[in-house]
Amino acid sequence: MSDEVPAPSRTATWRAIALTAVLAVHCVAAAPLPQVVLPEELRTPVAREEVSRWAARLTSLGYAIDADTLGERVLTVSGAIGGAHRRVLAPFRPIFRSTGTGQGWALFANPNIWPFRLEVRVRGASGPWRLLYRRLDPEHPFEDPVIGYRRVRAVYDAHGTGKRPRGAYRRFVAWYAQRVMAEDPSVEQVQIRMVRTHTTIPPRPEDPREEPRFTLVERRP
Amino acid sequence: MIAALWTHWVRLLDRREAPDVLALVRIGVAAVLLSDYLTVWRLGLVPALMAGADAGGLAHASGNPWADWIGADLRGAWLLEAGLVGASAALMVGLGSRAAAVALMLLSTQWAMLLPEGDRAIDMLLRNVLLVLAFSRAGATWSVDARLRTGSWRGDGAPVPAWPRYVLVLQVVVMYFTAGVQKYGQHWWPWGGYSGLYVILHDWSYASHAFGWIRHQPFFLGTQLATAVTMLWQWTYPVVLVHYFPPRRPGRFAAAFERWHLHWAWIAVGAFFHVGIAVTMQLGIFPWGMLAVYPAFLHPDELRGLWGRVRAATAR
Repeated sequence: MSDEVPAPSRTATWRAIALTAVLAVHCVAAAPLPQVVLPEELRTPVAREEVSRWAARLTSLGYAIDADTLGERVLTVSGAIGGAHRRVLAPFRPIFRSTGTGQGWALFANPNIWPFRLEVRVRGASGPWRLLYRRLDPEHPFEDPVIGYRRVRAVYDAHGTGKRPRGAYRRFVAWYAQRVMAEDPSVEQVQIRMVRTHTTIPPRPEDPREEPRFTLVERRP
Repeated sequence: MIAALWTHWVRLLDRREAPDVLALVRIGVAAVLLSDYLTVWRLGLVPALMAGADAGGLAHASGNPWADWIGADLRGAWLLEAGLVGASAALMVGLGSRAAAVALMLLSTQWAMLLPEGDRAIDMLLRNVLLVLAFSRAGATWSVDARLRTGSWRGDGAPVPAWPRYVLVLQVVVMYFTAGVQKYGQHWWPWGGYSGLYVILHDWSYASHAFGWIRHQPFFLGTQLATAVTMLWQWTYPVVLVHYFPPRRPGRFAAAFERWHLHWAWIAVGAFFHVGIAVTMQLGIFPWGMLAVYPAFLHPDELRGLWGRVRAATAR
């Protein structure tokens, strides 16, 4: 009696070839390469602080570099690597796109110490603004399940990094203001804004500053 | 040498096993997705999230197949919602399992194109899982398909190809590992005070409650420890592959890893991590979608053993 294990079948071999090819493409797609960083992204306070701290760390390790130079290198290197990654995957992009599949898991890569808090204010024909909703404020929970639903939150979170909000945020404001005015006929104006706060790390004291950004007002037609 | 390695690899991908685990993943993933689609309906958000501005929604009304062929109007929105609910329900009960998995993946893709801002990492991950399930025999047991084919909900008990389960394991490993090595933010590292989770729990978008109190001890220290464990866990996750894709000639490390069932340490930390996320953060279906794939880490014999112990414990 022989101890030899029989050779894999032809079906098993072809299946292994096909699976290996698919896994290879997905491994390339999943490669943890730096994402392409855009100049406007580098101008955000979070990114500026991050680059400054990395520059200080690299300098302390003997590689002297200032924050501006490091920022320029990040743009150049991430652009080159990201471009090459895109070109390698270009033949497979139609498959990824049509099936909605892919790899890319930069989850919480850089936690945000300047987070935004959504606020919705309303007022009638006259009078002061009244706070209707504030994220994670138990005293102003108006429609929290709707505003907090992950896909809705993702739309207003896509407000962008510049001074003017992106289209997704504008679409959210128009949609939500209509919804509020339809619910309450006394409301004539709806103001939606993102209030930027600052998270400090203990033992640094708390920073109470609040900076309203992306303030948009919708009026009843 | 290369020929021997290749043969070993082919044999690993040619393993067969009972279909119970794949069926459990099928049911779990479909249930999570179905609950998400029903949540959209319950909140009255179908027109808002699936129709264009003309129909009072937030979706992109052109430049994607669904909008161009079906329409980004109210009719198109409700048709998409019905398709998503129908396909996820069919997959859950195992009615035309393969076709249901493909349909669900394609419909989810269309929704992602209609509202790209709303499509998150977990949605893409679950579409990857659906694609694998479509090529698997996940409907061979605990399904309407099994009942129709064999007259029994359990099916005929014949072993099915195991590679889809191993590919799912590989997918989860790749996700955790690449998520770990891409954490370049200072707050994840010792020189950032291991404050990553502390910062995330102060982010209004992700936190489930106001967590101002965690700046006091011992809570802050707790977040620092959790951050350090998260990094260590994610960076080292690929080591579990020693169990799922054992080397041709196991060395001392692989033998010890197997003898002590060390892969359970990574799985247990992961399950704890996702339950923690579900309690402290509002990430929608993310923790539940991930946990729905976790049965893939179990061999059907382990699942059977676990089930036997649960039944014995509840019978006492």
